[in-house]
Amino acid sequence: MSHTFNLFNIRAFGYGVCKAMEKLFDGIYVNDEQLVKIRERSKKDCVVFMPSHKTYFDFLLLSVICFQYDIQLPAIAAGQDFMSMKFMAGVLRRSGAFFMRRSFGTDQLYWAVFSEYVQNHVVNNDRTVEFFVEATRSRVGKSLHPKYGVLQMVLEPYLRGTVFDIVIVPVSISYDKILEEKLYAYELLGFPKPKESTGGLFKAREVLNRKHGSCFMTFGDPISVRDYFGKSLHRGTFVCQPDSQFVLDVQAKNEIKKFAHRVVEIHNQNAVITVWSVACMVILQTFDHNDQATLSYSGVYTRVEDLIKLLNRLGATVNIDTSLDKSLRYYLKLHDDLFEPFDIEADDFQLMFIDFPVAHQKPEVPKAVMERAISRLILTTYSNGMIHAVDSEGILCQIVSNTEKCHVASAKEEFCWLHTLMKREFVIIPGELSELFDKTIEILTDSKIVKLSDSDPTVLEIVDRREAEQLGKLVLPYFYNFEMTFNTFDVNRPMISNLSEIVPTVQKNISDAYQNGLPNARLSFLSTEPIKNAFSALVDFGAFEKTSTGIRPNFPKLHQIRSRLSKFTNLSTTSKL
Amino acid sequence: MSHNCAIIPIGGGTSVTNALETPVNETRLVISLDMALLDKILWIDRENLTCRAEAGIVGQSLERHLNEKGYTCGHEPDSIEFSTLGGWVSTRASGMKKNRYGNIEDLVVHLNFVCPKGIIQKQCQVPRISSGPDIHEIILGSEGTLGVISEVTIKIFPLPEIKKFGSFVFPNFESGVNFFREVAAKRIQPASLRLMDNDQFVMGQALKIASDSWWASLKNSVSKMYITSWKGFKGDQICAATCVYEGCRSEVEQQEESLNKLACKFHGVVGGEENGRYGYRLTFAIAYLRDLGMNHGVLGESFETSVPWDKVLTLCRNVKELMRREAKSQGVMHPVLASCRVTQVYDAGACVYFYFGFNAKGLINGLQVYDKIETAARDEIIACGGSISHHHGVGKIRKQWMLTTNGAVGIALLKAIKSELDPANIFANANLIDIIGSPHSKL
Repeated sequence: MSHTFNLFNIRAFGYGVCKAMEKLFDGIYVNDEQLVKIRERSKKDCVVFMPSHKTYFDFLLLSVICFQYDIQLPAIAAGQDFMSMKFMAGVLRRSGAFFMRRSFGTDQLYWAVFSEYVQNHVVNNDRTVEFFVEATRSRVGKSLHPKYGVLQMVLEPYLRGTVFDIVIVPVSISYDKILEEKLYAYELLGFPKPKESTGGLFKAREVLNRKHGSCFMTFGDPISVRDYFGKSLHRGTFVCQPDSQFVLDVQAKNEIKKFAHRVVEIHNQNAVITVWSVACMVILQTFDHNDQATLSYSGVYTRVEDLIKLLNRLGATVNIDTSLDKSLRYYLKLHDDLFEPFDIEADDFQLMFIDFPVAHQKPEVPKAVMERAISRLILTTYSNGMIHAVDSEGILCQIVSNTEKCHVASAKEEFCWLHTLMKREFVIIPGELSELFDKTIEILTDSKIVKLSDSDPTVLEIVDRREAEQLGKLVLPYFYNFEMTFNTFDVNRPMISNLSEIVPTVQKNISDAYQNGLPNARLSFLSTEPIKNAFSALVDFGAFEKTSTGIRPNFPKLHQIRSRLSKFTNLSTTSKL
Repeated sequence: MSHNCAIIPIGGGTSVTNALETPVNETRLVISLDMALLDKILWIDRENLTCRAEAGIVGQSLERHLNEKGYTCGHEPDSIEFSTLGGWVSTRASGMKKNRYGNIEDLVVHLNFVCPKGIIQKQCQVPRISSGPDIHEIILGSEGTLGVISEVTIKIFPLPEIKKFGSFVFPNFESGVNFFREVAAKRIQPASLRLMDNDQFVMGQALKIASDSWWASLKNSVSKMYITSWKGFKGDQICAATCVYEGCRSEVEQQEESLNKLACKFHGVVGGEENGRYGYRLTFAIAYLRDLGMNHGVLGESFETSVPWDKVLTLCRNVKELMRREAKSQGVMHPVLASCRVTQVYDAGACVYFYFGFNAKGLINGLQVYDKIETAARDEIIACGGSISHHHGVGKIRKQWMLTTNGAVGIALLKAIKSELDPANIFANANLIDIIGSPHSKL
């Protein structure tokens, strides 16, 4: 479990990492005035970094930056899967990483020992601490639903009064090109994940020889836990129990959970939206019309420009280096391994995606479909990088355009329901949907896309139909994906032994729909991540009954969810399935 | 008889919680009921070892009279020069030597309590009684809100054969606290036992230089060299404990021996009697020091709490840290004095005293800043598992924490008692709680 931190190793390993990074990245951008602030804070209180997690590189980068800025190197709670890498596990340990099991289950001793270990770092404050609130690398390019265990562990010393304060620093890390992009795509399609091995890492040298563009690290404002929980969590309520019997009540646990979501929200607010992310969004939309479409550079350029304008109108900024044309060409070159060769210097050129070889054959889905899907999944991963800026706006626009006379109250009810349904896709703060709704209305009215009717201020009206539609289209695929998953459950097959078993069936349905040319069926829907999220949503909504032999869908309830969702998506074609 | 007046009883006037202040919105005639003339000892009962005295008798005078007859009352708060017997009862006072004699609630055998409804008085003077909830418990700590105490019977004790001071030096505060915890667990506490933290230890040294140096006297037994070089104690961590032994010769010797032995286990070094005596003298001096400081723009005050053993260290550290940080954020420019001491040990916890002082130079309203910081410190105390008060009481400045302390139902009960005993709110000092309908009520 423990790390074996030593500075010599850091220097040696750090040299290697720095060399590799020089090769890999064109640049690493950090907001350094924040780092100076953090360094000062860390002298007094334990600083806990909570970075977003998209690649292995996250924690290497953070350690290197800390080293550079003279901040105590973090002790890192990393996933156990790294531990099986023979040589590297040792190196990582010596750089300050320690490994934890994915789930503790009922192993109370493990939990106790592990939390004592983590808390000792916090209490003694001779190192900073780092862990990932999303627990695992996000393979889908957007934030995952947070996990709470380690956060609770880290906050406990403050709640117990063992430390005066703890400082949380959310760190958003965005990459132009993620090292594991292809690996993720295969993994998401359901091919077994290769075990982490040092051999694998050396094979990855091929990957390491490619340029991966820039990396943007945004360190959020340090959050003093004392200030943050000062009003919501009264430590006074825990002191009636002796120190040895410390238990958190439900209310405290909920506040901590909320905080985890808040950190994810800050990740998103601070994340850099790249031109590439917008471009991927645009390309995927083009495929909705004609999946075999050949893209022209000029066509992509125009649509990217339009979408960036829309984003700016909503108050979101896209990082553009000198000119959009230059940026877009830069990213296309960076990601040229996705395309047939093209001439980047030409005024205009055609873009054709290549198919990626798929070794394993799955009986449900034709190989050709799988091969084509890989690049779509990669595109989706990058396009997800901007969805947090438009998710609520898209949902609200779609609700308003769908409804004849849209009352604010009913829009709110629908908005909250849809967001709750999608809570694993678009991370929200539990209990604050109402505020989110108000904020969304404010953004949309300020940007003159939606307004409150002049004759009746309880009714919402579309002002700019084109943009409202565009916003709706940005979020709709996520809902189609869910809908198609929901439609897999069939009254004729009332018993399911377990949910993961029917993932292939869902994939088959999606692939069939795609091959039959049904509208709105995207190849990226084959990704197991949203399918599993859709299942979890159904579980949350109580659409399954557990029996001794397996799980039985509660069809009336399922139907209810489906029909409410279809009001939103207006997707009549697939509901016949 | 006209009820249209307010009565505020006053004893020695040593309250540090604004308990004697007249509420701002009191419009009636206010009678300050000074107890000073009720200062006689009524009788001493050598058979039962009790003494009945009038409530206004000053502690020092009571003790002197008893000493003349070969007795002591054993109650010795730091305010003994001024505070009165009645004041002790009505504020639930605690004495330095409570380990040997008990706190005021342990010492009271009988009392007369005059309230607007009449007199509360038990029919017998017995060591213990089972007659439902103890009425004395309502009077103890009522802070003049229900009525006034006129006479009290307390336990007395034969004067101890020997009174001896002692002291210990510990490498740090933590080992000192651990030593105290062990003393309490083994129940070998001498009459009094106190632990001061490093800041106070250093301050004590600084104050001493003028007269005869601590180190000079320490040289006889343990030299400074021995402490810092041989034992390796660090000047910025070292802290000291002082104690008072009372009893017959063999008892004191035995206590001393077992304490010295135990101190060794916790890396303590025995510091000698003179240093112990000095430590206690300093306590009495502190109240005077406060006034002296004020003349030079230094604001300071002390406040106390009680806390279970497992939370002593974290509470001390967090509260001191809070005072330092809060002072900085309130614009205090010079480093502050934020110090604490453990002054009482109990089976289940300890009493902790905080001392806070700062140079108010450059601040627009130094007193307001002080109040803000003390309030924040009390919030922190409560958040860390400490109490609203150990013996200073609630008065007016700590009313805001009564609800958290006692809960809504508990407060309702206190209100009910008040409205039964004093429906017209004649005892209108508005301590402890706000009563609905009374002129000072916030509701």
